Amino acid sequence: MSKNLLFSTSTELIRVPTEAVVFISADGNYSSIKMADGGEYVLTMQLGQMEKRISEMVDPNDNRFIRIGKSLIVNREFITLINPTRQKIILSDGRTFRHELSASKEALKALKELIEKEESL
Amino acid sequence: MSRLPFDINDDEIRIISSERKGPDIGKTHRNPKLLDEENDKENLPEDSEKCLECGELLKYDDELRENKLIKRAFMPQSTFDQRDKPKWKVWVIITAVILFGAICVFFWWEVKEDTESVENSVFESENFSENEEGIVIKDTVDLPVQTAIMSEKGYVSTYDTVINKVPLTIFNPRNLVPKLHIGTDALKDSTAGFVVQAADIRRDNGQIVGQYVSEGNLLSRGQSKAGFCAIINGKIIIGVADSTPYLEQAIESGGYFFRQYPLVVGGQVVENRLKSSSLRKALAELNGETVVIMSDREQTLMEFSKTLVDLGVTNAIYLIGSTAPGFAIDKEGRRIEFGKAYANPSIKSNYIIWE
Repeated sequence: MSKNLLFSTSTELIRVPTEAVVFISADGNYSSIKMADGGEYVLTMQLGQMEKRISEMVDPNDNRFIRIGKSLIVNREFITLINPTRQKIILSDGRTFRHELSASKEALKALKELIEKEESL
Repeated sequence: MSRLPFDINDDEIRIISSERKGPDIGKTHRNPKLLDEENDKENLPEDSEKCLECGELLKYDDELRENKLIKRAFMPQSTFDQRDKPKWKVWVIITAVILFGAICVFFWWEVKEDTESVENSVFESENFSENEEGIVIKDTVDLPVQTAIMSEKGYVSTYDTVINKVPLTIFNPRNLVPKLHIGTDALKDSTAGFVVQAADIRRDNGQIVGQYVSEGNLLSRGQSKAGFCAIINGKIIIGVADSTPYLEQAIESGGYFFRQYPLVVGGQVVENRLKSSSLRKALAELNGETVVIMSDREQTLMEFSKTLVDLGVTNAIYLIGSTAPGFAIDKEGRRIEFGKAYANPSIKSNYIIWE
């Protein structure tokens, strides 16, 4: 198990630290990895394949990545705001970046409940 | 119906980890850490563990465990399954359906009685007449019927207003269906009721800026502005997000999608750094309708956003303004042109066409 995520396609290899990945979004048949340093990497992989690769690579106790609907994987460490009514989720480190994303109300409601439940334990 | 391990709906979430697969979807159990601690004490079989809440023995699929597929359990019950919805909801739905049916029968009966009475008295009363299609109608209902027939053809209603001394023209497409089109031939489209320019074109390479989907095909991608317009099943959705499921939906449904500067979100101004002033144009939600608003005075984007908020706009993104060409067909069939045609337009010039 590694603390880096490694994605390799026929044309390129991308190796990124797990904790520096902010979110991964679907972009047709591509996936786009948004990094905490502002960088963005685009891979010719669908989001489901990305999810499978992540599940194979992350540490057993590392559950930071959450799949939200069909088009988004987020790093829960950066979740700053969840508003199911406005279908809005904000990912931020509180200093250098802030990304406003949208997802379905039901998914965000479930995510809110999950984090509330876990934070209260 | 069984689902593949990595299938997911837009309404669902799941934690991605390399741990074993949890119990069947739809069953809610306590946190896995607590489960593991309790199961250690009871020495349960290797491929199972016990839920602390219900005492149920939870079996795991060995093959899936070996493959280290993701865990899907231990999530809020509402995330996965609707089977345990309260029964009162079912009764409410049944009652609503029965009431709806009764109302339909009642109105059908009323209409039938009216029609019979009209047919019986059509040669006796001056209160009834026959229209061009030979349908006997009451004078009292004549006007709405004619209006309905006339309004089947699409048009654009326009009206002018002034907000904070800024003259605005508002274009409201009626009975028209929007789509995106690349190419200046859109300006000669005789079937179009309304045409405005949509996404920006890069000066360096002449390509469309940001993600652009036409008829489900992703034709452009790359660094995008945060504002978006998705057209899915003929309906326009305006929003602000770096990533949005509407892009996927537009691709999957054969719809359309483009990016532009966000101006207003949730009735609030979106800050923008562009300082230059120009005639501005926006695709906006106003009183629950999708409209195009043009300023007749040069403004910065921030000033334009504030004007839109004062007008009552809830969401808006920018459309190419200044002298960008376009036209609208009004209710009387007159063509209202705005902007002016470019001398050397880009082949990637793209438009929202309402037909």
